[in-house]
Amino acid sequence: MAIDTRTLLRNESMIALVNCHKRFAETNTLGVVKKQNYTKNITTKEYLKSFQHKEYKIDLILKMVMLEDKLKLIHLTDVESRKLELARVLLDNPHTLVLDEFFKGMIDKEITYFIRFLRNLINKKNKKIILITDDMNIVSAYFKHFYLFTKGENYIYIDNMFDDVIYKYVRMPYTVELVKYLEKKGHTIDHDITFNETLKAIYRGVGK
Amino acid sequence: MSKYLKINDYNLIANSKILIKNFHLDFKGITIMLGASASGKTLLLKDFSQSTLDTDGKVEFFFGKTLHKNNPISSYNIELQNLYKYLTMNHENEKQKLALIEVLSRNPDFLFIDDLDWTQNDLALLFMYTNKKNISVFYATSDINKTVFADYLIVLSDNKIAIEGETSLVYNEEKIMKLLGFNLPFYINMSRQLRYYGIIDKICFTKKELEANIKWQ
Repeated sequence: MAIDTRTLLRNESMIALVNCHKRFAETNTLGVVKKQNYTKNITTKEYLKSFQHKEYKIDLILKMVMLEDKLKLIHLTDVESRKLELARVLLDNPHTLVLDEFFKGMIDKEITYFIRFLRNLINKKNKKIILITDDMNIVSAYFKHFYLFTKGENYIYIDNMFDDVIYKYVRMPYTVELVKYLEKKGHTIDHDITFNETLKAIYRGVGK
Repeated sequence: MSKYLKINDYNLIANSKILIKNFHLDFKGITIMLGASASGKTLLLKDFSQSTLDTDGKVEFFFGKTLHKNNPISSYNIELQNLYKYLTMNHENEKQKLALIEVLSRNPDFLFIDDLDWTQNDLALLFMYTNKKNISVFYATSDINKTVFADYLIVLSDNKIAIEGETSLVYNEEKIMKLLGFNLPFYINMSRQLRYYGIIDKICFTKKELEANIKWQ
């Protein structure tokens, strides 16, 4: 079935697409955030100014995505590139944002900050977010269900992180890995994949 | 006699700014440098690759680039062929793995590696090989979970080494690591919590270690 973002987002404000290789095209209502390979020797601020946005808005958005305004585009890391593209897209103010592997390469503090940031966009600015990622540690931490792409534009709805079909395509998150390993050893563990619930389940199931 | 490689009071300068100051290194085994994106890890390695380092050993660098023309895997010794066979079982990054095999075939004493997007299993295999061959490895990454392989851990923050030491000792500084932006690696964190409840006696770095040390009912 072809991808229709409105169908995917019907009842949700934020969804995850796993093993998705489709390239989304930007429109007036859909902004796409992905790593860019820049060739111009200009700064992040100059780049955003080239899209005719007001300076005070640029200064504000750069602070919000934790980027300095004097960084040269050609020296940006992949993480910085995605942050800059997020800034660019937010200045355009689309209704829906597609974030392509946005968290790749970020450390824990950055991930926590940007998850909160995205939730604020949803709650305060009424945005919709589509997160494309293969990182099941992120998916299992922040989503109860997601769409798994199996071939081309074919996808299935997954609401069980322990479904083996997922891990034919992507790597297992640590919590699922641990619970499955313990189950293989004959210990019954509740299938709640937050860190604290897995810890409690181990204590209840296998503790002395 | 084992080889040495020392770096003392090294300042990484980029665009007339000191990006990292007073960097030092006296490494053996596996040293992992942990830092956020743009903390200077890749630039530091590239700077080293263009400098004359204080060493009596053979130094190689790997930045993840694949080769234009690959040598056939059969041209390498059997140990490297086996390593390649196990590394490519999940078929990810095959060309990159072959390029690293080529670097390993040059028998370096010291190997600097910029972060690889490999599984924990693949990294474990690589480090088993380098340990067996007495290759000292310096690995730069932003992924805390990869630091479980380190004998020595260096954490970069605010343009300098924020904390360093034997890996387990650095993990003990959980509050400092949190301030620097890092949660502990998953199995370290899990085993610390389980030790608190008396279910385990030691801190475990891997799933297998955790399983082997849980006190079953």
